[in-house]
Amino acid sequence: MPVILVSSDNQDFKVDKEVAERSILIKNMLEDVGESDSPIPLPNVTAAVLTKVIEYCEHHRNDPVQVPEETDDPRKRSNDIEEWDMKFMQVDQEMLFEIILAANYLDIKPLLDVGCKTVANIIKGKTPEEIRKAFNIVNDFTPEEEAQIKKENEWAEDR
Amino acid sequence: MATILNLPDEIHLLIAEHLETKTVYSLIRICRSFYSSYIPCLWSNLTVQPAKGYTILEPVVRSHAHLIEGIYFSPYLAQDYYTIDFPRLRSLYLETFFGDKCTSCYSKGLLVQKLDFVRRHPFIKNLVYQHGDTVPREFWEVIVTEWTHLVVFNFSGIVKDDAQDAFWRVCDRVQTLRLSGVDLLLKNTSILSTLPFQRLRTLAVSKYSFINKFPYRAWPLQLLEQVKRSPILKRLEWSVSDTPFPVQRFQETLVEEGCWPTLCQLDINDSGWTDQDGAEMLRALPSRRLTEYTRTMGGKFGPLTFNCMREMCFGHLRNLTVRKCKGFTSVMAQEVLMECVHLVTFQAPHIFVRDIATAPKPWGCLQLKRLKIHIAKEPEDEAGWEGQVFEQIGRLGQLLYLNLERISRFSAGEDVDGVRPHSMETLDLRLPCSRLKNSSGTVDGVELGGGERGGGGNGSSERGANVTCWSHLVHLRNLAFHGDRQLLGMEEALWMTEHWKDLRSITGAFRAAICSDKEDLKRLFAKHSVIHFEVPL
Repeated sequence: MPVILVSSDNQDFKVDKEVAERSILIKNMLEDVGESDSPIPLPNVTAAVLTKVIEYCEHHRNDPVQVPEETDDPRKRSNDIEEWDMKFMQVDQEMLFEIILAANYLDIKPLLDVGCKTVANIIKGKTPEEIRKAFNIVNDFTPEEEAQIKKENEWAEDR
Repeated sequence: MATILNLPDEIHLLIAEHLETKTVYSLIRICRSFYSSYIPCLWSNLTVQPAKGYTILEPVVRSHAHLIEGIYFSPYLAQDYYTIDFPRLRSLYLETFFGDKCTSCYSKGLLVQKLDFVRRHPFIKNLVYQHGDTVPREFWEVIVTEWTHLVVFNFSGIVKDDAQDAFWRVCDRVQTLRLSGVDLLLKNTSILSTLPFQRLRTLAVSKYSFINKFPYRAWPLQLLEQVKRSPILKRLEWSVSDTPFPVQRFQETLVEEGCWPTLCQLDINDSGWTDQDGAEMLRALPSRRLTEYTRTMGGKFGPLTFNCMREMCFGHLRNLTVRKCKGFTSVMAQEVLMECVHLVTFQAPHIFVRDIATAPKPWGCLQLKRLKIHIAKEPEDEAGWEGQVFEQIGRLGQLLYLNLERISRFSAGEDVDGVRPHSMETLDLRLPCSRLKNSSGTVDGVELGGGERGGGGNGSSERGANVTCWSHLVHLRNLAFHGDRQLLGMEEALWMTEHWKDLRSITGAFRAAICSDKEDLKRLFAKHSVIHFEVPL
């Protein structure tokens, strides 16, 4: 049975229930509401972003549900991104952050994960100045603050 | 419009999980918003160790104490550090680091301060106590009565007679118990035989004869006997130099008494083990589901053990470590790499280029993160085989740790496979350009033995794949190799630091290190925060 999702800009999206349920938020909603064909409003997600998110869920509709291992140290988790996901994430930065925010709101853990890894890969190996450039961020520290931060945290440089 | 500054802190934390500490340090210097998002990650786990230059001054630690969830204290620390309150502390590591013991200022003690510290921090889940001192009874009593959240307990030190009751009660509480180098003056063990160890999931008992001189007497065996009642034991580690592992008793326990139905990780070391012993132990496992297996202290790992392992556990095996243990062949190593699709860690003495190149199918272990093996070339290897090995390793995109060092004769046990792989040549890690340049002659008076064997100047290694196909190993953090015949140069060092952004350490000999560009090499590694361990030629 299809589910109707409504984006913040009032566009309807008809998707298979199985696809929509990749989002834990929607899955829980459907379980709470029971059998119903009323549309689900998603006030935090625009049509452009929702299109991307649905594309992701369609592709991963048959993935097994992630069971986190009890000994799972996040730092040891795989940093690898599947090829399809990598291509899927080749979007401009605005869309990248919109997807991450949507995945967070809709509770789609694997998509959130891929998004965070993509951002991490942009950051990796860059100097602070390069990072500012990559994300278009202005340095708003005073020289005194910079010196203070350096003094307190310098130990982290060679860890 | 969404920018990175719109992301909430919890997402910044998820991003930081994929980054190294030094990168997080870059992030806090970007802008104020990033500072407040990322500063908790930087300080959540902190090591304070004066010996290695990691002295973070006490007032600085104090002013960040509210961010700290785990702290490592070296035994050197002045008592001031123990007066700090850490409201979120969950892990306390009172560790003795390598080198700490060598210096004269190594001060055991501060027992009053430690006692006061444990009283003030009752929410700790993980306690590692390895300062090697004699902890008073009150210390254990505080933990037994007030630390209701303790899950992991890792101890080495001295337990006096009057402290034993409380000490064993602490042990009985936890899920993970590791006792290593514990001097226990056990006269009366009655307390031990009353404890059920209901929560225990991991038990590790070790003693290494070269560190711990005192005898262990009977308590490890008594503990093992008592732990039989533990219904959910998953992992068992045993390396006790003066107490052989009771194989017979272990099998009876498993088979006849039906204990430990969930046991699936074994790290049991006993130099007296035969191949038969190893196989029977595996057969006795009630879970029939071995996921980790480590043998590092002698004994024999032969065809019986291997066949049994293939039959029972290739489908689940995640970690296989075989070192200083006789009988593990190259063919076995190749089969493990081919068949064990869940393998994460693999360590074996050696593998021949021939066995990798002529195998019927490629390696299946694409999740592999840690690989330590000596890859041995033989003179009769065909052209192109070495390239296939490079490609094979290049497909292991998850690798964090790659150690291709030649095993010493000692680690090899004996001349397995009827040859001496430890004296054979290994993969040529040079870039194609420097292979051509250095195929003969000398650089700065250092003779280079690299180049081809039997293939002439333009031999096999110029064809086929080479180290450049490892550019996919983007997560690599540690690389170790034997550069004895090749002596990598600046070209290779540049290539490695350019492609492996997470690289932290390289162990191996660089030609550049003994030539005129020594300073350049140092600067390059320093710039990328890579630690270089020079291997003497």
